[in-house]
Amino acid sequence: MFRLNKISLVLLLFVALGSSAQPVVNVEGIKQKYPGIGYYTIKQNEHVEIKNSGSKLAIKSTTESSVLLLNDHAVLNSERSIYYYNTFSEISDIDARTWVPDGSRFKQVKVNEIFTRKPAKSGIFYDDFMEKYFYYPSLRPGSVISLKYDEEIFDPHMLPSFYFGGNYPIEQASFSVTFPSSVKLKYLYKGNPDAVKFEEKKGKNETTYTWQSMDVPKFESEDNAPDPSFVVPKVVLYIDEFENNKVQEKVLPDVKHLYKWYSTLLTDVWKEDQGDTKKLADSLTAGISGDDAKAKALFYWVQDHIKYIAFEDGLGGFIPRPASEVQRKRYGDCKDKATLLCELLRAAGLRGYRAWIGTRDIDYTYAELPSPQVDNHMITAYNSGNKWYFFDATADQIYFDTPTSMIQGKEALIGINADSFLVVKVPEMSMERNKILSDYKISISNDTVAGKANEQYTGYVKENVYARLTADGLSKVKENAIKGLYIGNNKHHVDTFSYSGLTNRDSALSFNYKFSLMNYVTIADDEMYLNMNLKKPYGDDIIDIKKRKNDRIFEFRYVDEGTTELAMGKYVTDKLPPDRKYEGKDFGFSIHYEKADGKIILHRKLYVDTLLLKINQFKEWNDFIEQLSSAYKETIVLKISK
Amino acid sequence: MKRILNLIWILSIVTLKNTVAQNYVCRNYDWAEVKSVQELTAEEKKEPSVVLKDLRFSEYIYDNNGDLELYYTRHRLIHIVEQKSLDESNKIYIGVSSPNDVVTFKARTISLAGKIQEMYKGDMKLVTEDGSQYMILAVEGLEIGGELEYFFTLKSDVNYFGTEYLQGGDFIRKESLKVISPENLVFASKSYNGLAAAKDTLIEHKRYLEVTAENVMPLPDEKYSIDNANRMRLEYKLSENNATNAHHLFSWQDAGRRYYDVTHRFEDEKKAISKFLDKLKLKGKSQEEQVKALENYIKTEFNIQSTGEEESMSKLFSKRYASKTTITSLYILALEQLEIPHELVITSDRFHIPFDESFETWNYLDDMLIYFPGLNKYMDPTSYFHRLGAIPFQNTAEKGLYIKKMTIGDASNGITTVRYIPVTGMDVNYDRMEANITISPDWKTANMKTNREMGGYEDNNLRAAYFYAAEDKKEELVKSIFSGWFGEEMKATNTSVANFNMSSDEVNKPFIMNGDIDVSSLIEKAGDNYLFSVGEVIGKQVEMYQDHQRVQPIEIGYPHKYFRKIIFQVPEGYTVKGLDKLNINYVFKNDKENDMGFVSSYTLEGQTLTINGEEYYNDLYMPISEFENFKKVVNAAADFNKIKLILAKK
Repeated sequence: MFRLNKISLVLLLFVALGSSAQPVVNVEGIKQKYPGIGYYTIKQNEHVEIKNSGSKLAIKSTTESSVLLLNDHAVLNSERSIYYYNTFSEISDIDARTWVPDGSRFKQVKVNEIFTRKPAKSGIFYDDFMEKYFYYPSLRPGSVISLKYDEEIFDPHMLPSFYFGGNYPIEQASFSVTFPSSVKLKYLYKGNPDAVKFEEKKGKNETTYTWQSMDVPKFESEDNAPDPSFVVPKVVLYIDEFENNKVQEKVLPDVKHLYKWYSTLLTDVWKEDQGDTKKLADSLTAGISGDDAKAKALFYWVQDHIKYIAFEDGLGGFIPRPASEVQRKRYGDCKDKATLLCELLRAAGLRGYRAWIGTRDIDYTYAELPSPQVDNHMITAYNSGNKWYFFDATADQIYFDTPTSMIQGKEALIGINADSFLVVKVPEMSMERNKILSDYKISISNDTVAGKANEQYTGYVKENVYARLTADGLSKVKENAIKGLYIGNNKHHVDTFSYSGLTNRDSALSFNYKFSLMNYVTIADDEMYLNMNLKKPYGDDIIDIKKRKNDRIFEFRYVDEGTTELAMGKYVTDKLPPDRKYEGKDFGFSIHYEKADGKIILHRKLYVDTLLLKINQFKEWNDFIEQLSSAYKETIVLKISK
Repeated sequence: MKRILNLIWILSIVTLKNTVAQNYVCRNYDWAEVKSVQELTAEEKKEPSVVLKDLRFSEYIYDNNGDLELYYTRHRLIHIVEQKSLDESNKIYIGVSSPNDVVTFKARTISLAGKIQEMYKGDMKLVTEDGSQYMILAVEGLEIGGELEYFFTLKSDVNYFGTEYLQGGDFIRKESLKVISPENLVFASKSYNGLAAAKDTLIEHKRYLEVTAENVMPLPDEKYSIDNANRMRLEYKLSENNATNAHHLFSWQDAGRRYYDVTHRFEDEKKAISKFLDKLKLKGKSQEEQVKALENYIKTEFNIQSTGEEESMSKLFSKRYASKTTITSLYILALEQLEIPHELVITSDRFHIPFDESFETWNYLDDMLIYFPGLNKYMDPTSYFHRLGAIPFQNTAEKGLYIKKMTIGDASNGITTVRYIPVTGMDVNYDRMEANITISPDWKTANMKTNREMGGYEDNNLRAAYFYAAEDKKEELVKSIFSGWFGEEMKATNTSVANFNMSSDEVNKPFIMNGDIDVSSLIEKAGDNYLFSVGEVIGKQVEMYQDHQRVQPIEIGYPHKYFRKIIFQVPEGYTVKGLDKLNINYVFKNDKENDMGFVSSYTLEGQTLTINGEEYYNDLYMPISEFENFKKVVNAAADFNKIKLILAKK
């Protein structure tokens, strides 16, 4: 995946502002309003100044913040950082101070030393991400820390954005931009329209836009929650055009120009000589007939043989390496893999294209925001007949006709050639394609259950299981598979375990094994109790409605179904538990017991048919879980037949 | 810390005047031409990767000025068997203190078809991760069945102590380590965990200390073991300089003197320290009260932060942060002014690298503690999670250096003894849980009044986590502890926490958590009857059911004990069945006393069922031969966890 959302990222991670004026803060009021609060942002301001020299734009952003520390242990948190990409911007004039309470005023202590380092970033091998860091001195509860710094932005395609929200509540947040009449500036505001006040001031030669919000609540980060950018009100700036030597120069008026810019960055890539790549494509498709079969072979080869290493220096964050280089080096990031695959497809005479795309944690469409902030990833689009396929070769083990789960439902900007493009929506995969199917055949003897299991995994479920199984190498697949099994009370012994389809993308992954579950049957006098729900997915997945602040996302839609078949042998039962079901639009389950031919068969099915559970669905979800977990609690009573 | 120990004065021990700079053996190190990948044996093919070769050279030479230099060379050849090792091997990370450390670097990949791609120093990049710098390289052309070969030489700060692991996560076909030094410098060494002893030879005025190993199996991760400390390794150190007739270099006594100097670096700031102490108003307090007040002040008002900025006592007082060493110095100098008897204690993390008295390498000197003989108590001066009387268990149950100030005339210095640092017993480290349970009339939930008391290390740092959590996060933390115990669907009300103030005497009392918990998952319907999963009340337990060949002996952090009491009101109109399973008795004894065990029993009086259980582990170490018994006790708790009772209609 390549970068983006850079500037916004900085803002969310970093909450702070500063100047030499005494902080004004009503500590007691804040304590009353937010009992027990550890940190409180007094102000969070950013001002962007755009100037036009007549031939070049100068863009400077000034960030100012101040944070009140109320946490008793605030001193333990003295390190602060500012992150930036040094190819695209430069940080200067950092002014950081601690304001120590001193009677009714504050005594200020300035930070003297600022350090710079190249930090490692998760998932990225190397890029131009940089960090300025320093230590606030003299911290104690009641101190205020302030920060002010400038950021010079080199490229007019990469204007800042601003989030009205952060890790702490904010008393006053404001974002403003001043630009001359020779610049046509645009912006996108997303979020509750009442949350932020907008003001426009038109001067003779320049205009200032200001967005301001008071008492901004803090953003609650939660598991499986949408990215903050979906939740927090935000402003994104972009430049439509500006006057360059008396001529209007277009920057990002629309997606057409965004593409044009991307395409220009790819000038060398379009012209590439395909010598080695052609040879490789020929050898990989030799003896294969049919376009799709060829495309599949090429796609799988790139997944298998080009390892994901994100090495993105400077503009390398936007420009893929030539296909032949990726082929030789055997590694690449998403753009590199997409490019090699694209060139392989073309070399085989197929319609392959590079496509820019934003993953599901980005909240913009190309139509509403023609800016590089919309995408952060590149894939290969393949066209066959009238159908588009979206090949994401950063996956390890994904089926031909399946986009990765993180791009489902997103727009792909497909580069047809240097001048033309298409925006096409990637489909969301149906729940039927992502399945867990497990069938158990069991019998009992005293308090032990003996059984045979067949489990099958397809689609995204298989991908996840694959990752877990192979995490310690192929020699450990079996061991990891057995370790990950959860059957009955989990006191199980597994014998004769075998699996198939692990590395065959075109088939399901299946497990076959024998197991015994010890002490699983509860015995009392002449009765035995057996719970035939050997698996209880989502059994305790109640959402704390009072606490939870965010929607809940699912990685994918899926179905978990199967049977448990009990051979009755010498046992009989009077009564089967009642059938239970809950059939919602987005989720549901059914459990049905059947008596047949010396057996009792439990049929179960559970499904999640949505990618997003909205807050207003939580109550319904909890009803579903309550019914499900009560169904899981049904036990059958067995007696020895007389 | 080690950097501070290596101050220039030590250099004078080994400087050799009137020398001519020598070439180091590895100066022109290169590899032989290669045409194809190597064949693996059938056994090797089962491993994700095979390290065919891992050669290390730690070479000391004199430069033109007679000053010692250290060059470290490593040469590795790795055969990639499968995807996983490809993912791990296609990035090279070399730890450096500056990018200039890398004198030479070369890498190449050999494909299955015999195609070679080379990479050089210029292809490397510098990154910082967790405060350490690395030169990194993305490996080109590596594939399954192919090989990666690389070597590098680093010019590093001269260090007189080396620790080299010769066993890791990969199978190693052949490896060696050579410590090469000028004739006059003699290195001593000790091999651990089955590694052969190193051999010392003298060839053309150079000494070679060499150890080799072949077909080394990877060490598996195992529960209840000290993985890292069990790896084969060689410790080596400079022990003699024949040129100056200096023998027994870097003794424990020397280390003690060095630590004494380091902690007395700011001795001339006596005034600033006494002013600082005045503020604490310690007059008239007992020694213990004074120590506690000093510790609480430092751990509340100061932050440990190594920043690279220049340090002093007065800077610490104004900035409120400093490195571990400087903060420890403050304690030592303050304790001296207060005339409170104390000894500085230096030791290692037993799980990482256990302290070995018999081999005087300063690489064992990682962590600083303070011992108060008058109070017979230890303190970790820089751990926010501990207070006087408790230190990290990783630093206990092993020996360490005890350094005491000794003044003769006007001169003071540190006198060192090596002594044991005791671990606390299971009377201190315990977790006592009590639950009073009723079933709701609609049979939907089990309602539990729970009370939990955690002593010593058994608080698992929850006390500190709670104390340091922001006020508005504390409740959430308590809920997450309860849901870790009873599952996500539980509802906790009336929760309360006691004895969490780390800066008060509460820290010496057991940490207490109470709460009313409603859980529905414990009840199952069975025709007209119900099943009650009474075992789940003790929470999820470690399970060791599947069989694996145990490789390492057992070692646990500290002796500990669990007490569990469950009082269950059987609903009116029902009888309880299946009680026999509650009687469990697994007790294993060594010669002296009960070693480990799980014991549980019950009484039923009217409708009140009372279950008492104890589980304990008194021994820190057990050989592999004890593993089956150990597993029985661990699994007894897991079995208990699975017990269900039948509530049958009368």
